[in-house]
Amino acid sequence: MDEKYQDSLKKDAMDASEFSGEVEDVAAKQLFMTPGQIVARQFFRNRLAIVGLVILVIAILFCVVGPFLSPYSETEMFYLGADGQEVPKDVPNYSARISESGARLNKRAEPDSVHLLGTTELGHDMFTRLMYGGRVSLMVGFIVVFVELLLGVTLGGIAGYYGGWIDTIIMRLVEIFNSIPFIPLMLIISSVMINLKIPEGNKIYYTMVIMGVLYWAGVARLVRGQILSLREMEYMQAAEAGGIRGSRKIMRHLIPNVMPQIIVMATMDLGGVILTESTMSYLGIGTSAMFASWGNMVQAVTSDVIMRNAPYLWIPPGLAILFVVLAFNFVGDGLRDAFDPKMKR
Amino acid sequence: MKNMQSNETLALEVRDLKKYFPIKKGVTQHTVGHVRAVDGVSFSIPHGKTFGLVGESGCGKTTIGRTILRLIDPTEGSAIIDGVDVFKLKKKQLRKIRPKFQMIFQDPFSSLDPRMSVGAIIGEAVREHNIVPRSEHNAYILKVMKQCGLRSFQVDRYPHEFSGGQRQRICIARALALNPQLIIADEPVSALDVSIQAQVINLMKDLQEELGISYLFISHDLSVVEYISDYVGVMYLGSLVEMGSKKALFKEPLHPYTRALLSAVPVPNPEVKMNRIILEGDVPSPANPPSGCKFHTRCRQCMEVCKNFEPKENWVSEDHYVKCHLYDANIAETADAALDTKSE
Amino acid sequence: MSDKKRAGELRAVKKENLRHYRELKKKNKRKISESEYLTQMRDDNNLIEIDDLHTFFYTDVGTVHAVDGVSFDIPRGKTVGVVGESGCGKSVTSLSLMRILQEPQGQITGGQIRFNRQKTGQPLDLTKAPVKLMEAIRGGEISMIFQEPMTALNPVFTIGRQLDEVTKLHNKSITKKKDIMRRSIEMLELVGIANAMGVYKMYPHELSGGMRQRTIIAMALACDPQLIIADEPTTALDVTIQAQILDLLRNLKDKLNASIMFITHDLGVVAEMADYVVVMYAGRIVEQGTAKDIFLNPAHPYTIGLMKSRPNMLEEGERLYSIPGNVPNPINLPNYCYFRNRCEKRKDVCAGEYPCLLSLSPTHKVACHLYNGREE
Repeated sequence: MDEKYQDSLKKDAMDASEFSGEVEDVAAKQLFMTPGQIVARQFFRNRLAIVGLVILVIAILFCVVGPFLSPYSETEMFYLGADGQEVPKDVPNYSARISESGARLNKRAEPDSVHLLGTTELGHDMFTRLMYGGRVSLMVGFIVVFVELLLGVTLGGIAGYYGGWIDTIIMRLVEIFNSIPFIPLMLIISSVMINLKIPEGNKIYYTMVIMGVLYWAGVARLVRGQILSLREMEYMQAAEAGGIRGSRKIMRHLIPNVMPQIIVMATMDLGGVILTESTMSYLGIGTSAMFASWGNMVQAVTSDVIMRNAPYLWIPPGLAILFVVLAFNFVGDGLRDAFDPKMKR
Repeated sequence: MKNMQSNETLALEVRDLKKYFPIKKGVTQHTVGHVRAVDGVSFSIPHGKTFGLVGESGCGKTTIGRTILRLIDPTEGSAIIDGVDVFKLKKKQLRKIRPKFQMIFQDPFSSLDPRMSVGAIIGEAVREHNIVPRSEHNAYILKVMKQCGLRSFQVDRYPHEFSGGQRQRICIARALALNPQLIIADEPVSALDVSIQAQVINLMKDLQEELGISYLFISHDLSVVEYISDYVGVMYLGSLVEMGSKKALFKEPLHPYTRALLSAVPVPNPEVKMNRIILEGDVPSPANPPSGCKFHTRCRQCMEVCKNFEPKENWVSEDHYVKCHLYDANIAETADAALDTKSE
Repeated sequence: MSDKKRAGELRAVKKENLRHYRELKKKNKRKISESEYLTQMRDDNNLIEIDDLHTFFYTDVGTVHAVDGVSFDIPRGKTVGVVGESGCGKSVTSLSLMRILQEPQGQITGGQIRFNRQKTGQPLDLTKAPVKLMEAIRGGEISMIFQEPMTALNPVFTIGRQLDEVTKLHNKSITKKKDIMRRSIEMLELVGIANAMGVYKMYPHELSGGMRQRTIIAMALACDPQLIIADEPTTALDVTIQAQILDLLRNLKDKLNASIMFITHDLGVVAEMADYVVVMYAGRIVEQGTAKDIFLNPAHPYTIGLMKSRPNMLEEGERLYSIPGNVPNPINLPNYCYFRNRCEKRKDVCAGEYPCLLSLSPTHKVACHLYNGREE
C-alpha cells in the first residue's frame, strides 16, 4: 500500500464528485482561470506563508524606509556629559560639552525613550544600526542569490537541455567549484582586498559577487538534473510532436516545471546567505565594523559579561536574523505548494 | 497492399525504415556495435484505416512510431505523408507539417504537463499553428473536448484531477485538435482498466468513422488490435514477419511466431482448453540478432535453411505476406543451395 | 461547498484519523495471549477462511473502505482467483492477509482471517496474531509473488545470495553452506531455469523480465509455502512469456500441493488458472463461484459488463461494450448498490439497501437485487 494508491483513490474521489452533474453550470463561469491566479490563490490560503510574507514586508520596510525616518545616522556617536546625561546634538556648545572632563562615550546604554534599543559598544544608536544592518544583510542575500541563480540556471539549463560535451564541461566545472573550501577562500580574499586597498564601503559588493560565483554550482546541478528528467517526460515529446517551437517548450514546459525547485532553493539560500554573511561578519571578514550588518552586530558579544548584562546588544539583531531566515523559508514552502497543482483543493 | 495504391489514397507510407542505435563504450565513447531496433520495415496505411502493429516488448514497434514522428532520427528509409518524405525535412519545415500526424502515448500520467490546465494542453499546439482564428480559439477547444467526451467545465482543471481513462481522452483531444490525418497510438489502452479500455477504444473508433483519421495502432494486446485494426503487422526483433488484412491474418495466421502469439492469449472460458504453443526462451538481444531467420532460435519448425538464410516476403494472397521459409515455394532449391554451399 | 466548510471538514477528518492511529499504537503495544488468536476452522479442508474482513484506510481526505465485508475461502490445493479493476480492494485483501498494510493509515478494523496452520496443527486468526508470529508465517508458510519482478529483487546482490537468504531463514534444518546452495539451485531448476548454475551467480539486471519472474517464484517456493499469493504476476510480462509463467505456475501447484491466491485484472488469465473466482467491485464481493459458474453463467451485471468489454469474445463487426462512467468515490460510497449508477439493468429496488450475497447454486453467489426472489 503506497502513496500512489492513495493518490489514485483521491483522484477517483474527484472524478466521482465531478460527475455528480450539477457542478457544470457553477463551474462553467470560471473558464480559463490563469495558472498565475491559481498560484496566488493557493499561496494566500497558506497561513504560515502569509506570516512569512508579513514578516518579510515588515523587515524590508524597516530596513529600506526606516533609515529615512530615523533622526540618527548609522555612524553617529553619542556622548555623555560630565553630569552623566547624554549631550543633545543641537546644544550650541556641543563640541565643548563632549570634550569636558568627565564626558565619555555613551556606550552600551540601556534602552530608553531616546535610544529605543540602547546604544552599541561604540556609542551608536542601536535601533538605527539595526535598520542599516538589515539593509546590508538583505541586500547581500538578494544579490548573492540573484548572481547564483543567474549563473546556475543558465549554465545548468544549458547543460541539461543540450547535453553532450557542453554538459560534460559544465558539470566538471561544477565539481571544481563544489570542492573549493569556502571560509578559507574568503579569508584569503579578505586579506587580498586589504592589500589592494579597496575602500571599506565597497568591500561588501565584491564579497557578494564572489559568494554568488562560488554558490552557483549547487543551483546548476539541481537545474540540470530537473531538466534531464523533464526532457524524458512524454509531455515534452508530445510538445515536440505538436510542433511547438523550442523557445516555447522552454518557456511553457521546462521553466514552470523547474520553477518550484528553483524557488525553494532560492528562498532557502536567501536565508542561508544571510546566515553566511553573519558568520563572515562575525569572523571579521565580511562587512567592516564601521558599517553595520546583523552579523557584525551580534559580534558585540565578546564576553559572557556582555552576554549576560547587555542582552539588548545582541538579542535584537539575533532575532532579526532568526525571523527573516524563518520567513524566507515559510514563503519558500508556501510558494512551492502553490506552484504544485497537486496541492490544489 | 501488394500492388500499392497510389499515393493519394495513402495516409502514410513507410519504406524500408531502419533505426540502429549505436552502442558506445569507453572514455572516448566510440561505437562498438549497433542495436538494430528497426531493421527494414515497410508498410502503408490507407486513409481512414487502422494499421495495427503487434509484437512483444523490445521488438521495435515503439521505435517505429517515434521515428515516423521524428522524435528519433531514422538511420535509413522514408516515411511519406501527403507526398512529403518526413525524414528528409529540415527542422523548420517539419514543424509546419507536424499537425498532420499526431501521437497518443501509453502512459496517461507522464504525457500531460502537470502544470498546464486541460484547456492549455489542448490549445497549445492549436495556437502555435493557428488552426483556428484567435477569437474562435476557446470555442474550438470546448468543441474538441466535447467530441472526446470531456465536459466543458473541465477546461481549467489540471491533469492530476483526472483518472487514467479521462487523461487518455485529454491526450486524444490534444492530438485531435490539430486535425491530423494520422494518429500514431502507442499502447494507448494498456495502462487502463478493462472497462475503461473499452471506452477509449470505442472513442477512437467513433472518431475515425466521424473524421476519417488513420491510425497506426501499436500494441502488444492482440485482441485489442484485432478489434480496432484493418491491417495488421506482426513484428519480431525489428522486422515485420507477417502482414496482412486483419481477416486474413487472424483467420489464417501463417508465421510460427504469429501462431504462438495468438495461442498465448488467455481466453476467458475455463472449458476451452487451448492447444497452446508455448515458446521456449526469451527474445534474443537486438544488438546481436541470430543469423538467417531471426526467429529460428525459438521456432519449433526450424529447418536447416532457416539458420542461414533470411526469408523473403512470400505473398500468400493479395493482401497477406509472411516471411518464413515454410511458405517458400522454392524452398527445396534454397535448401539444397544452402546445403551445397555448406558441404563444399 | 465553500472552502471554509471544506477546511473544517478536513480538520475533523485529521482529528479522527489521529484517534485511530493512537488506538492502533496502543493495540500493537499490548501483549497478545495465545487464546486470543487461536481459533477453529469452519471446514478443515480450507486453508484460509476470510470472514467478513474490513480494511479501512484513514487518509487525509476521509476514510477509504478499501475492503468492506469480504468473505471467501481458499481450499487446500486449489487456486482462487480474485478479479477486479484497480482500486477494487483485491490487492488490499492480500495485504491484509499478509498483514503488510501501510500502518497506521491502513488498518484491519473487523473480521477474521483464519489460517489452517499445518506446522502446529492449530488454526489461527491472522488478523489478531502477534507481529513476531506473522513474521514467521510470512514468507514461510505464506509467500507472495509481486507484479514488478525488478523491484522485488535487490539489485546489488546476486540471485544466488538472495535465494540462499530465504532458504536459510525458513529452513532451519539446513545449515551447511553447500546444502543451502544446492537447494537454491534445485529451486531454480524447479522453475524451469535451464542454466541454474549460471543464473545463481547473476545479478537481477542481467536477467530478462520472464527470468526475473521465475527467480521470484523460486524464492517464493524456497520455503515450501502452504499458500502462494500471486499479485498480478504476469501483468508486466509479454504474452508469450506470460504463457510460460502461467504454465509453470499450473505445473508447480500440482507438484507442491499448495494453494494459490491469484490476483489479477485479466479475466482470461483467471479463467485459465483458477478453480474458484471472486469478483470484487469497490471493496466488496459482487460475485463468487467456481470458474465455470463465473465464466459460463455470469450473473452480476458488472461481471457481464467486464466480460463483454474484452474484444476477444466479439463477433465480426460487433461494437465493443463499455461500462459507462467510473468507479464511485471510495470515500463517500452510496448506501445503495455501488454499481447502480453504471448498471443498465437497474430497477427501483436498487435504490434501496446494498444487496446481500444470494446463492444461485451451492457454489455460486451474487450480490444483486435482480436475483432476489429467484433464490433456490
